[in-house]
Amino acid sequence: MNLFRAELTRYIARRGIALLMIAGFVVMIVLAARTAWETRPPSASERATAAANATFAAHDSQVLAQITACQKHPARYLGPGSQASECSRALTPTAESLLPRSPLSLRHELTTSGPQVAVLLAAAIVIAGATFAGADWQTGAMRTQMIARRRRSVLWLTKAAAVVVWSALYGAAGYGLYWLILGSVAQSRDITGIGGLTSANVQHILAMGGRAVVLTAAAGLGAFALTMLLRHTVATLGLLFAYAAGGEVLLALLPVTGATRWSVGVNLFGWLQSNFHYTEQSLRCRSIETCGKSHALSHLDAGLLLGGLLVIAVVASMVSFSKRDV
Amino acid sequence: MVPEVGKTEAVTTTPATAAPAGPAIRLRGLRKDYRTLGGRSAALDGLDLEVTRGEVHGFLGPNGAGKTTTFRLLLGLARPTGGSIEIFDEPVTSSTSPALARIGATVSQPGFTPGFSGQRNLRLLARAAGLSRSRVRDVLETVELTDAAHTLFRRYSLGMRQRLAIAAALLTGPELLLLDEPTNGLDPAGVVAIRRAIARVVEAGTTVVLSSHNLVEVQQLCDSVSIIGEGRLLASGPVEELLGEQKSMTRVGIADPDGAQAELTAAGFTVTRDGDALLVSGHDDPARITRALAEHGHYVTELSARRPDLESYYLELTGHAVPRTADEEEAP
Repeated sequence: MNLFRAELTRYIARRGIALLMIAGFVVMIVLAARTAWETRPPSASERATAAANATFAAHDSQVLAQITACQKHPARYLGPGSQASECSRALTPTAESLLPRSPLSLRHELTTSGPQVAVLLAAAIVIAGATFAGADWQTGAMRTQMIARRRRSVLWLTKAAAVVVWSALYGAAGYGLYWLILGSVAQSRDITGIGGLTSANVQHILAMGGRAVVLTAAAGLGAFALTMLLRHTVATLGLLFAYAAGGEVLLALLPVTGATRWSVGVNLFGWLQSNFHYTEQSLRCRSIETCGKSHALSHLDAGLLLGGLLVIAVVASMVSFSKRDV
Repeated sequence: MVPEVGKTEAVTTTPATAAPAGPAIRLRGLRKDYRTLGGRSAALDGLDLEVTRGEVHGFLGPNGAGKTTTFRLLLGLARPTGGSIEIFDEPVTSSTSPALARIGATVSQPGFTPGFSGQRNLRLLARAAGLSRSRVRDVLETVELTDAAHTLFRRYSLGMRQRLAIAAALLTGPELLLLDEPTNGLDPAGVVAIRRAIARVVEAGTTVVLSSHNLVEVQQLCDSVSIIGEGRLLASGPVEELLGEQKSMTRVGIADPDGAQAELTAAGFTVTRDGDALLVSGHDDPARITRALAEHGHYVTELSARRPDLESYYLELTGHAVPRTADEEEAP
């Protein structure tokens, strides 16, 4: 426990790491503020303009012609089983539909900004985890610690535990704060229904929150493990960048279908989002039918790939740290 | 001249007094190979070494001789390719061998978190080892860093960093302290502070092994020395005994060194040139030199005794030329 407390202090009390984590929080708060701003209720003048535009559109010849055509063939416009009487209501623009922006919808944010915030927090933790181990190697502090603590595996595990615990706490706090802000905004705006604070939405938020916490903890552990292996922060970040960016390019260029399944980005969002679907992104996709097809990716499938990569990094790092000369 | 010593044959002298127990360190045929592009290169090539308990032992050798590698092997930071290590009679077979817990060390440059104060760095090490805060105060006092305890490590001078490294090495109260060039790059005040710290540690009965390039300092501080070169032991033993093996010489300044050299050689002296002067050995009375020269019309302008010192012994042993000072170059 003493060693764990020492490593935790060493991790979070570093100025660079503290600043990085604060920066991650600030960006997350800015994202929440941007979401709140971009979904703010329309002003009176915006409502008046939308109402005027709706009145104008109701008398627009093109709209009227479309309604007439729809009434002749309602199924062609509104789908099978539609009635001619529905055409006018469906095709006449309303004042609501002409407002400059949509209201805040927590359901919508669960598939857009929510996963993005989780990935942002994980990215901050990746840099922090890599900095934690890399700085110790760079300054020679690792050697000093290894002389003081002979059992290398214990040292590795304690440092890893400090990274995992703090990363998880950071992820939980960041993610929780984001949804606390959006939830408060939704409540203050009296948003009800599917976009509001319904029990279903809260359940989704909590479920994704749990996965976001696991992701940040795993991201910190992975970055730490890689840096303990490579003994250099920049090498780790370079490798991760090359894998993430280079891997995406490679997958896009590969002359095989189904390669997108192995994309890091796709798997990250597959892990975070419920009912996640992706489409084939290969530039050399030969069949339009295959390329345009949407594929479902379950949490389990995404988690297996990301978890597999993490296990490889952790095992390689631990073995190397135990055996290699310092 | 020092006695002829082969680079692969060690000169080992026995300490005058027998140690109460086995040596603090015993290395037998220690070998460490590194992979290189062309194959393998040996950093240590069958090093044998013994360090007696309770003494200050100087560990000398040119850059690349294998001093730091030896320390790293002793500390379990690297694995030997061959040979054996014993610390206080206990074999060291892995980085977790119990004997390693009895060692404190500084290796290469002091490594600490730059953004933490010296005290905080030590407290973290102490906390990890389950030691009290008072222990941190004690070691800071030993190395005279109490006043700078709250200063950030990045603001420490090189001397302060070295002293903090020694303090860290002392935290667990080691019986054996390995110090890797602790005075390297320090100003005289820093050297003196380190020397005082070492003296305090020695007083407490700790065995100290000190690698250094400062041979004058080693001669002053150490009871015994080992000199290694190309990964092998060249010489080892108490300083006095090693220096006793050196012949005393007399430096003779003279107007005609060539003629004087011929006359002295004919008279049975061993003579070598030292610039425009002569180094004469094989005598026990300098008056014999002046008499021999005066008889042949040579009159000396300078006559000085060359006392044996560790520096010349070391340089001779490691195959380095003795650098001459500007004064010596200009000597008549």
